[in-house]
Amino acid sequence: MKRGSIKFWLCASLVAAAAASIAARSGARIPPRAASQTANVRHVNETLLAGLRPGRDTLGVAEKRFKVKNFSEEPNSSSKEWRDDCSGRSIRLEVDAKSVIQSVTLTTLGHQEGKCTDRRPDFLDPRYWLTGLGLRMGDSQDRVVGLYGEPNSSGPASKNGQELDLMYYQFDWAGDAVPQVMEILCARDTGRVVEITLAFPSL
Amino acid sequence: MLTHFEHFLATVPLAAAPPGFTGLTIRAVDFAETRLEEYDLRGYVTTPAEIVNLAKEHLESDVSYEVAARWDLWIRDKESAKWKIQPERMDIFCYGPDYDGGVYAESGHFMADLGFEHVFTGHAGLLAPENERVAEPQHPEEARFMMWMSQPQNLREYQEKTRENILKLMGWMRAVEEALPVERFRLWSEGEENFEARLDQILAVR
Repeated sequence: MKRGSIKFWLCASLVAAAAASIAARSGARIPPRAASQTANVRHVNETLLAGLRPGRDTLGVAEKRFKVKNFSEEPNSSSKEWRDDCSGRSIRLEVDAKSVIQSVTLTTLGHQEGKCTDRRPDFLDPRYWLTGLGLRMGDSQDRVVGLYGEPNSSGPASKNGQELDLMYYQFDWAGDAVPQVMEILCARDTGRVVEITLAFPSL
Repeated sequence: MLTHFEHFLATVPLAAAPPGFTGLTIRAVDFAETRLEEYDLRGYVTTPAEIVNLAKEHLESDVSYEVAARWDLWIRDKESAKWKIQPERMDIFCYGPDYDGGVYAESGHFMADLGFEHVFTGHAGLLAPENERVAEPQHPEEARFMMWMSQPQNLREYQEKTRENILKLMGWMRAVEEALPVERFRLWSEGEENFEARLDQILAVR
C-alpha cells in the first residue's frame, strides 16, 4: 500500500514576514548566564522524573514499568540503564545498596549506533519522558524557566561533542526528604532540552 | 505562519459527520524529538481558529504542527463489494522555517498526507490508459479484485468513484490556491513517477 501527498509552498516574502513576527513575539532565547548566579530564584521544586521518585521508589518499580528489554547494568555497579541504540535515548538510574533510586537521568545525547526496529521500546513511551511538572525533551529554555523559575546557576557544558547549556536547580530549601538537585542540559544551537537529571542527594 | 495555517485548515473538505479534526501534535526541533504536546480532539467539534489557538502555545520558528483530520472519500468495501462514502484519515503538517533544518524546503510549508494513493489512482494500473499494461495480481485477494473488475460495469464504476475522489482533491487544491498566497504545489506519491500526471490521465478517460 503506497501513500500519496500534496505539498504547498507559500510565497517567500510572506513567510519571511511571518518568521520575523514569530521571533518578535516569542522573544530572544535566554542568554547563557554566569555560573553561580542566584538572583530571582522561584521556589518550585520537582520530585518526579520518568514517573519515578528519587529517594523513595526502588529499582523494582522502574523494572516493572520499563520492562526488561533494552535494560543493561554492569556487574557490581549502582548504575542501571535502559538504552535505545537507534535513537540514542536512555533512562539511567543510580541506586543505593537497598535498590532505592538515588537519581534519574533522561537523555537524548547517547550515540545512535544500533539498528532500528518497528517496535518502540516500552521505556520510550512519551508518558515517561517528562518531569512531574510536565517538562519534556525538546522544550525550550523559556519553558524551563516558566515552570521552575530562573536556575540557581547556569553555564556552558559539553557532552559527546555537543555544545550545551546547563541549568542547575537546588531544592534543598524544600527539606531533605525530597530530591535536592535537578540539572537540565539544553543544546546550545537550538536552546532545547536534551537531558534532565533529578537527584535525591546532591550531585 | 499560523494565520496562514488557520486559513489552510479552513479549506480542508472535512467529513460530513463530525469530528472533522481529530488531533493536534506539536513537535520541536526535528522528528526525532519527543512531541511537545498532543491533543486528542475526537470528542469535540474543533474549528481551525481553536486549533491555531492551541498551536500558539508553542509559537516558535523551529516547531511543526501536525493536524489529523477526516475527509469523505469513495471506498470499495471488500466484503460487500459495494462502494460507499466513508471518512478517511488525512494528516496535515505545518513546518516552521527552522524545523528539522528547514525541512519545509523539501516538504512544503504545508503538507497533507492523503492516505493510500490507490484511492486516487486505482489498483494495479486498471485505470490507466488502454495502452498501458495492467500489473499481474500478487495476492489471492488482489486476483479476486481483478476478476471483479474484469466486468465492464464494475470497472466503469471504479473509474467513476475514483474520478470523484480525484475531483474532490483537485477542488481542495483550488480552494487552497484561492485562500493563500501559494507559490507552488506538488502532488507526490510513493508508487507513481508523476502522481499529478496520473490523476490527469484518469480524469481524461471517458
